[in-house]
Amino acid sequence: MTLSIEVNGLRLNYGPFRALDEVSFKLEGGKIYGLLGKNGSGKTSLLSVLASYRRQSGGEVRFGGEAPFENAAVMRQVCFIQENGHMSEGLSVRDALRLASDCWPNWDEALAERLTRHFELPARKRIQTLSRGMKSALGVTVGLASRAPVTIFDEAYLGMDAPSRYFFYDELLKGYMEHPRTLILSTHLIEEVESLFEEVLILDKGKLMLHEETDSLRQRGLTITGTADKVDAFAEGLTVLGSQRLGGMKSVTVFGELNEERLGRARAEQLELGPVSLQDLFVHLTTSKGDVR
Amino acid sequence: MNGLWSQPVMIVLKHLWRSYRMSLLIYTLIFFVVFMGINVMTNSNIIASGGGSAEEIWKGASMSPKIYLLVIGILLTPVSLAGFVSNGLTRRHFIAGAGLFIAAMSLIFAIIIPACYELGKIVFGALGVAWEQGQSLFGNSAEYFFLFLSYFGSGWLIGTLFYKFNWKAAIVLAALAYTPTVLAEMLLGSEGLGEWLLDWTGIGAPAAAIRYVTLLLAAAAVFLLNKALLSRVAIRRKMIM
Repeated sequence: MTLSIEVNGLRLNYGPFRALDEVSFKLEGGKIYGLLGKNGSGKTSLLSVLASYRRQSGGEVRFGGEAPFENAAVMRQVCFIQENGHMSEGLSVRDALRLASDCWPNWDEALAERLTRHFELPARKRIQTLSRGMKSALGVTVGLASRAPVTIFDEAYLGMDAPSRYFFYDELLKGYMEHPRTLILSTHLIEEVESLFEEVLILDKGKLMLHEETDSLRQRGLTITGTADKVDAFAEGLTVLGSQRLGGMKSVTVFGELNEERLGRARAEQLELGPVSLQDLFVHLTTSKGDVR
Repeated sequence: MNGLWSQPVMIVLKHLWRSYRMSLLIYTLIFFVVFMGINVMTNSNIIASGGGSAEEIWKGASMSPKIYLLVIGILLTPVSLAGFVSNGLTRRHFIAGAGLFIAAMSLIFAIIIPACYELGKIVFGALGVAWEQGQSLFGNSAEYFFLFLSYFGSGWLIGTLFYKFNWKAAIVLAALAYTPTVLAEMLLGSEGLGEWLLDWTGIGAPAAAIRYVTLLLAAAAVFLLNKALLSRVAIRRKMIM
């Protein structure tokens, strides 16, 4: 089961501070979305509204056409996992999983047991005594096993070591293939997960800066590699996001699509053209003009 | 997911019980052992009984469960609300489940107190220790229930105030949250604070039915206030702002 999400003119204020400002987008059900943004850009605020942790100050949020806040039918379909989670710290791992299994209608007990074993989560230990990595592992176990039609991970796996994170990515994809659902991943570890994203949303200073398919976003940048003098000449007039030099060779990352003429020139000058990473594009897009590298 | 216990409100009740059952058991054991110890010491003249019988000591000891329930009440919203909402339950489910939990715990304590007293009689009898035979305290269960309900309710309201507002505003408002406990002590407290309050206000002891209805209304007011405060509250990690 999948669920579409529609957000129109969403505003969220914390006192005089506006955390979200007229944010609008529509997410089709059954896709993996990446939510990117710098610290303080409003990512967690947006996700908190989607998960009914907070009521918006203005605008509309709809899940399958229904407002989610205090809507029992919607809330039981939206699982929001944050790094430190919101479980009572005094609960044991076993009790936390029991609570989750009682609450989520599509709970996958076999998956929860398998993940618990893999992450070596100690059933009797209280959450407050777990390491940061273990708390993250518990969070992703609940998120994955919930099989909630909309599952949101907000930096939920930051505390995990690299092998555990890659195991999580594999399980996420496997679960998504077997039980399609809407997944929203908010992360700073863009390079690790960018291959999972089907669409990307970028927030900046509380506003939605961009909502685009990942492939088309990637096409808005290029890396150009070749001899330094040829690369420099070719890149003149283009927006350069970054450059690397090794001996006489140079590689630059540029933003903006190249027309056929430029592409032909690159081929003629034997310059190598390659895709640009989502992270480089993200950094460029969210860096204010005065800060351009 | 079928059946009564899979209903969201009952899930809240079940998991609150699961969270606090061990503390309830340990508390009851300690309470019972301490009570027995006091009786042994007063019987052996190790400490002065102040002229009180075991029954009076036991009645006086009901202050301790009241404080225990007040503290659990204070913890209820800050510790548990986020856990339920983050598992897809609504604030309304939590409020209803917490209300049932408070009533159930108050009832359990209203039974535990006289039951422990009867158990004390049996233990002392088996050990051949002298025990001044007082009347069964089961007759006081209704009073105990309303006293515990009032303390637990006040605690819940205090915790909710600290969760909802910043601590300065909560401290001021918390003074009002004690109204049910003051009312309960006035109407039911047979000694100490209750007696003093009745003397001080010049109110004579009203009939039992009036006392119980008044305290039920106070409990309902606490429930509705919690509902009003929590129905739109933001879920956050910090327990106290």
